[in-house]
Amino acid sequence: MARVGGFARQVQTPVLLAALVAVITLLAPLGGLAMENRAMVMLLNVSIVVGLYSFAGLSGVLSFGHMSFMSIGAYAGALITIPIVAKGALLPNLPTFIAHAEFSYPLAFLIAGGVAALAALIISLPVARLPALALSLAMFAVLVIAYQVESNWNSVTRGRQALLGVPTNTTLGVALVLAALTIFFVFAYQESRFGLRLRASRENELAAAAIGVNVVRERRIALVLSGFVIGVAGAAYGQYLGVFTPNNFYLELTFLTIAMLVIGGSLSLTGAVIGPVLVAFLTYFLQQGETVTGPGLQQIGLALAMLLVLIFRPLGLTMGSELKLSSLRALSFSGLRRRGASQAANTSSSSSEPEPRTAEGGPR
Amino acid sequence: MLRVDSLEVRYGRLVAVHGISLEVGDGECVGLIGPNGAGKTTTLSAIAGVLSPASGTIEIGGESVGGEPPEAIVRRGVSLVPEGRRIFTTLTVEENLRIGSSTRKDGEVDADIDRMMERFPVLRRYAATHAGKLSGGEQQQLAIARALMSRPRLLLLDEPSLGLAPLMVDLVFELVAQLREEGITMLLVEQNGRRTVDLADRTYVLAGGRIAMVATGVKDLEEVERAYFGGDAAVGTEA
Repeated sequence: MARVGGFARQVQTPVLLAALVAVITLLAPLGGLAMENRAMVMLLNVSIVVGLYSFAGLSGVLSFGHMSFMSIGAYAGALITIPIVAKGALLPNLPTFIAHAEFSYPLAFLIAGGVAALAALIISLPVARLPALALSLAMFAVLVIAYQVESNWNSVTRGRQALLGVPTNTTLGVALVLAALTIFFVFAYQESRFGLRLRASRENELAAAAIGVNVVRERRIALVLSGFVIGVAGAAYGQYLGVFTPNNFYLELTFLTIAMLVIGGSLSLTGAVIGPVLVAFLTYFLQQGETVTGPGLQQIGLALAMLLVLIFRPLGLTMGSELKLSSLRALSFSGLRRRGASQAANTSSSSSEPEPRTAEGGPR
Repeated sequence: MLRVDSLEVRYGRLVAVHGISLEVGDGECVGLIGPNGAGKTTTLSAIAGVLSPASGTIEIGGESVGGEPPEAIVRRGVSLVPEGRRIFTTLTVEENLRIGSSTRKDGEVDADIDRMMERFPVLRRYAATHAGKLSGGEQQQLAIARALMSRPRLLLLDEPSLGLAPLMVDLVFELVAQLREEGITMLLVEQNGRRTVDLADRTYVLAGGRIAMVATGVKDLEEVERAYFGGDAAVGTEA
């Protein structure tokens, strides 16, 4: 009984999160093409950050290098979807097995994810053994290597020149479906026994090992899985851009995605989803402001937001709690009778985030 | 069940345990007491595979296991309730129990979780709560329940009464007594010497990384207190 009830109780989180991004997406076209475009970027960012969360959030080991998987996914996805004729003109020296490959986009996304996952597996062999901090930095080294290879492998990536003619299959609908699927997939992983072991190691590596968790193995699994998720997102992102260079997947994107995860809170899936959503809104207002202040406000504003979160709410806005129906109810109540005495103990200070889980969710 | 022979453990150049030998037979509850720094936790950590021994042998069920990683030791049926509880505070109570069974492959995990919640009603009440919100005594119950989830052949308890309110200390010792009745083999590390000696079949008294003596009754303990610690303060009678 406890199991079934528990499952229904838990699965509401990805449902609510998917519904949240869906509602925002459906409203976006009302604001015209520019808004639709922003919604698309937001959805892709949700997929990327949730992918990043599936490693960094669940393992507690921050990665500065996951955008390398994104670039691998983007290039792999593009190279197998650009029509063969166009490829012959664009990249005459392409290895033949790639030159003659042409797939439709859903399949191409999966293959691209597979290629990125394979890269993640190879990288994980030496890297997953490292202690946490060294692992974070090793991933940064991986990012630099991937960037340099892509910037100079002229016959495959066109090097620093943009890769052109990538089919733009990523519509608003595709991006929404991808974001929703990513949310459900990563949630399933988080709640699985693998995800559970990884989360235990996040808190205390030694204690986790002492009860039988092989921390290196769990991190390796997470690395491959997150590589896949981000690889797929990368392919989708490439087919949204249509034209890209290795610079699209380098330091700026690394900072942006980490900032989103930190702001939302890396200890819950909810944090990984609402981080990109909030940043999408923040970016919009900052860009409006830039027309007055000149360029730079957007980046400074985002960095400031990250700083403020780190100082005042270091676990991120969600502080490890997941979005649940009960927290929504609590929010609407707290709006009506803010400062209600019985709530003082457990209400959060701001109404824009879900409340930390209470003992029973019952009497308030 | 467990046989430790001439175990030596070092932290760098510092020798924390000087060649101790001890034995825990099937179904026995064996105590290991001594003052701070005597090497109790170090010994337990070496048995659990968290530290590797510098020399000496550790046998579990007749097989030598020295130097094996902790997860391999867990697979051999040894479960550690670590000092300071070390429950996973950001996981829910139920998840804490579930992860205690992470080396098991049978289908009875859910049934065992139910059984643990039967035994520790407080765990059922807070099943979906983050374990960090439990009180110290509740966390200790969770830590023991989590260790039991692996269905251990040998349970290692590292100072389970440490830092608990007196009432909770009673509860923990009662629980250990129950487990003993159920025939669970245990090695109990404690600072609470008197109660441990009372409870255990045999108690090794550790001092300065060496076994000073083996006590079977409170009388022996008094002798130890006089001989090694100059009174009863160091071994600690009642908290």
